[in-house]
Amino acid sequence: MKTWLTIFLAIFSLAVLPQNAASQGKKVDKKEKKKSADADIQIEGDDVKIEEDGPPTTGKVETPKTPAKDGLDDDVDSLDVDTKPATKTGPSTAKDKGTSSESTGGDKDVRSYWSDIKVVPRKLILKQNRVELIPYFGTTLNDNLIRHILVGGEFSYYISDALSFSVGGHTYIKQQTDRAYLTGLQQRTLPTLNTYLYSATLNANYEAAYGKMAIHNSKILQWGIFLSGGVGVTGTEIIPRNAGHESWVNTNITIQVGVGFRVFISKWLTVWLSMRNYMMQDRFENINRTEASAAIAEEDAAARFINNIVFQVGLSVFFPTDFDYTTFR
Amino acid sequence: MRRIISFLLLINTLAATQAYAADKSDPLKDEPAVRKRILYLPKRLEVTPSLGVSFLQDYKHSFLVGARVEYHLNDYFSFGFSAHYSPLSMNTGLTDEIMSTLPSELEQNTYVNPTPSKSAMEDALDTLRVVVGPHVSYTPAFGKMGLFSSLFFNFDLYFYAGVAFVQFEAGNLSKYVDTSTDSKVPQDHKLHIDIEEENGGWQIGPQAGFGLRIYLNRWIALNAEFRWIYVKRNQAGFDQNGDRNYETLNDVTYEYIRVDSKDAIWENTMFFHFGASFFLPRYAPRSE
Repeated sequence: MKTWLTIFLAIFSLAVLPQNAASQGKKVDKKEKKKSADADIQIEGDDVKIEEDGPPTTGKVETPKTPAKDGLDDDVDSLDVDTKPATKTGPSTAKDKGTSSESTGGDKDVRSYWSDIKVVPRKLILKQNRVELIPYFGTTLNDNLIRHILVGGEFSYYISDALSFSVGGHTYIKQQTDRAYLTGLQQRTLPTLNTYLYSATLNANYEAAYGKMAIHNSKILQWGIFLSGGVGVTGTEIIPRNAGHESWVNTNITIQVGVGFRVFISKWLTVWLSMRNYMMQDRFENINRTEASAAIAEEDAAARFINNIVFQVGLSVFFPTDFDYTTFR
Repeated sequence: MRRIISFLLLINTLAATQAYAADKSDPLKDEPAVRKRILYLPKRLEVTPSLGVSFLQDYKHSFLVGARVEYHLNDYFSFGFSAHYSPLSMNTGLTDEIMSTLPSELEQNTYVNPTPSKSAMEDALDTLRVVVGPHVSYTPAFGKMGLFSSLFFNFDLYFYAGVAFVQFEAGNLSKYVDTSTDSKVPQDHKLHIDIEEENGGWQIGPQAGFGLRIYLNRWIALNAEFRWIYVKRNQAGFDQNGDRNYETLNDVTYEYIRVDSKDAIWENTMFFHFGASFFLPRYAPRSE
């Protein structure tokens, strides 16, 4: 009898249990096909509250009575967990379950099924106590007569996720434009030009804005905007109007201010763009120069405040290349 | 017998677990990244009055006022038309720098010394007046940004390309007429005043750019836009190609620099626009 009972239980188990498992899957599939946002997006956090809104009946656009924490309509809240307090770290409470059950129509099975799915990407890179190496190149923007190509790099250390200190520098490769040639030829004016040799600065950088964007509502990219300021030196060399005259080199104290943008690619790699103004008091060849000697001409040099605006683009690499998240999802 | 039963139970358990795991794998695959988002664009008309300013110009900066009208077919594609007028322009630092070195009056004989005067140099410059043209836009990305971790905005990013019709106002430089004598024979060769100035009129070329909309609510957004236009022009009235006019009077052949439409070259003209976008209808629904 005992043997028969065991056999019966085994057959019952074989027949019923896989069906249960399959039906559980089908149940979820049906939910998925319904495109019920309540079921898939809202499950993770009760901090995601989506208003039920329809077209206005009075012609006026109604605003929610209880605005979201950030003042928006939480329409891209699924991108937003990082800017909010960390999600719950302990086991779900009865209250949590009750609330989530409401949001999923009371289907506790579905709720438990979805509860461990992470639909919200975390901040891709944590930067605190990491160093960043940025090889970059760029170009000067605001000189019509002489253009410079930049090649350089920057080394940063992050004391927090937003604030870093860096040392950076680049060398310049000059290119005189057609405009310089034509100006001399037709406006009978030989331009007084200096060429930049190098710039090196100590900088402080602050990530002022952080955001995420969805490409075609599928791929999510994370990005940041940072402000930068620093002090350093820039070397310049005069280009004599008379080829027989000697040139000299200036070393100018430089103040740098700028703004940059980065797109996070992985836990250790970003695409880095920056627009910076290297400001300095430079010294130019005097327009009345007659002496060929650089020593004499330098004494009569004309000082002038210069805004050297550059655009830089590079790849930044973070070290160590891996890290552990310090908070739960 | 018990071994067989145990084996069957084990198989059953594994099968059930496997079925569960299979159903659990990546259920969000091919699902949209964001649900319940406000559909700011589809089937809405966008009107964007804006102010613009040129940058990286050699001789004159132009300030623009105008608007862009755009109809969004769906979330990604739209078409529209923009028109801007420049009531105001300003000399660049380079222009001021060059003018500071030029004499106030022309040389007596500019054939010997063709240095232009301040006014001759300035009169040779063209001025951008009107930029109009149709375009198509593509809005591939939207998202949310936090500023100083305290202000949050929805935004989207768009690219556009189209055709630009640009009107340049020619400089004031005109042929020299010697009023000191009735004779049409040049008394002195006023080389720079004899330029056949032709750097005005309408030009056509491609335009492209990208922009950012930051939404304040469902129907108002701040708009910042970069516009690049590539047209033929001759900003400073230069003789780019070195061609000449020759005229013989009293057995003397005079050589005139010829500046005409052939001296125009393709040049980049770039603008930043700042404005506010207004969407109609004002109501924007949410996605599923």
